[in-house]
Amino acid sequence: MSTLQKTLWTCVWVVSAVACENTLVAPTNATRSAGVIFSQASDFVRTHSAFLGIKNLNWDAISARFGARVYEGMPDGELFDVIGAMLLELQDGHALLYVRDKDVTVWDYARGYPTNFDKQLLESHYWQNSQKIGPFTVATLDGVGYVYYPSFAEKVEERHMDAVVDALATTRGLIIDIRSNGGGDGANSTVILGRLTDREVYLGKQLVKSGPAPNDFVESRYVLRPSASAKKYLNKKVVVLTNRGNASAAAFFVAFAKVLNNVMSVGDTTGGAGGVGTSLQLGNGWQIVVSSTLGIDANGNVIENGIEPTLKVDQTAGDLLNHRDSILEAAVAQF
Amino acid sequence: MARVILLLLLLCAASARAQDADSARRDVVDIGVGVCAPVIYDESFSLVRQQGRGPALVLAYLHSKERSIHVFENNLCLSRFRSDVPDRSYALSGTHLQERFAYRYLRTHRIGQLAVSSGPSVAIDFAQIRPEGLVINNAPLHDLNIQLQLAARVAYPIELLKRRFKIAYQLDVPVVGYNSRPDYLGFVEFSGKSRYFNKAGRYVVVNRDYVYVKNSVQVDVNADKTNHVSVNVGYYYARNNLSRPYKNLSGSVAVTYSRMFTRR
Repeated sequence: MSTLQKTLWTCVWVVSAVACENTLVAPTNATRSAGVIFSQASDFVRTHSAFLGIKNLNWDAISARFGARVYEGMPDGELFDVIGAMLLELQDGHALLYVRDKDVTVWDYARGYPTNFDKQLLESHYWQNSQKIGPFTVATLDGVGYVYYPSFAEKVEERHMDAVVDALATTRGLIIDIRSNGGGDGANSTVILGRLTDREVYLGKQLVKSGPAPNDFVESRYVLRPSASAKKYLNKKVVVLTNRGNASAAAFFVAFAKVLNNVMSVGDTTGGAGGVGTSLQLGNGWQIVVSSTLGIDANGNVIENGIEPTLKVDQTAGDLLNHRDSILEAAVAQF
Repeated sequence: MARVILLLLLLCAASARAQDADSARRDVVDIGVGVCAPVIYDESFSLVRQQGRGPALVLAYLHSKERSIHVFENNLCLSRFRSDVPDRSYALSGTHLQERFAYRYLRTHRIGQLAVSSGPSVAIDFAQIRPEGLVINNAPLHDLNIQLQLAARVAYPIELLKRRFKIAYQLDVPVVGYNSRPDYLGFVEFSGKSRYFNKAGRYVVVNRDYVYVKNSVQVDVNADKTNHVSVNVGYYYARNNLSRPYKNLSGSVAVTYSRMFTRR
């Protein structure tokens, strides 16, 4: 074998030999160390949370305060509680630590505010002639169309919207009830809102975390495109019913719907989680989540701060005693 | 490492001398099955490596005439993975699919019995990771590449225990590529520049943050027969640090049945 051939084969085997996983697929970051896990969680929040700036949080100080409670060899449950408590300081509805079926108590936006929603009351007094279409409960109240959507986690398909538009074609206007809808997949928003417009509409933007400093952001735009379906609900007033239980995708929906000229909201200010959550698996397998974007609608409202209703209405204890949904009735009175 | 491999390819091409004028046309069809074992590190969802195991499928067609070789090759690896964490009860699991189609046009030069082939190739390289049990954004992540590559193949016949074997080493290294590895923020595909989120698509010239290499060793048993069996040992390596780090090292072993058609 010539020198050249030997050289070639040597090169071949060298290239093959370096294909070992510890060299090429480093780092592993897998660990049981409580200190390392805490650092990974704290660093993830510092670099990925979009809320540190608007909430004026000094994350280094917060991290140091909770880090002092961490020691090597501490039980998993104790470490879980320390990191969970640290995450509550973010006041972020997406912030949580997840370990199999046990997740930390998330920030409760609705605490201390009226519930403003009673599903049993609706079922017994307002939904007698309703029908189910996909995830929606659809009814007609005094000639006004009514659609209840419980969760943005329930998929909305174009055929569902076709059926809803058909069912409510002759109504005077539309009420979309998303009270206590805690969010889910924002893609469902575009399926619904795409039926309420026949032109492209700039809805707002997201400030997306792009670097380690609290205000390192880049912008990402939300543009609503009309549905390709001919079945639309146009040129009629639309009222969205809201309460403090509207978070994440539901809070975005309210803000974006109100960008459309014919849409107003009735009820209470929306809750928060006004960003998109991002998760990461830590070195011990636990998962951590924070909001890493900040949503701002086309009117300049920061969604995390809550979207105020066009018409503020609270459901009082007296209303409930009289079996009245005062928010729904105020909405019907708008038509 | 990319520079070393590029140098190796150039060395192959430059040092080979045209000596062979084999006028036979050969068509070879390969069908192979085996196992693959990817190791994935993807900071889009995890700080730890995911270890997978699963079946592999190889389909290939080779057409050669004189010194030119056209190769169409398809490699598929479908695996189940688990997180490589100390307490296995905390591990994530999921599915990993890796599909790679490549067309290579190679020119062969002979140095004694050593056949050295090199030339351009086009590859469509797709990987999809679908973790199960992510508490949020439980969506498949994909890494799609369309690449112009340099390919090289070195083949050498040997005789052992009165049987004829052929050992071939093959290497693909991209020169330029289009990479798509998007993140979705809510329902919007992210398109800006961020350290933490992947941009939807971009053109990339190979560099230390964008390295995709596939190399394989093929051992043909009874290489001179029309129908023969070969064993393929392959390594696929991806390193994409353009935004959130992604690494994928996938080893595979496949037993391949080859049918050769020769015309003069």
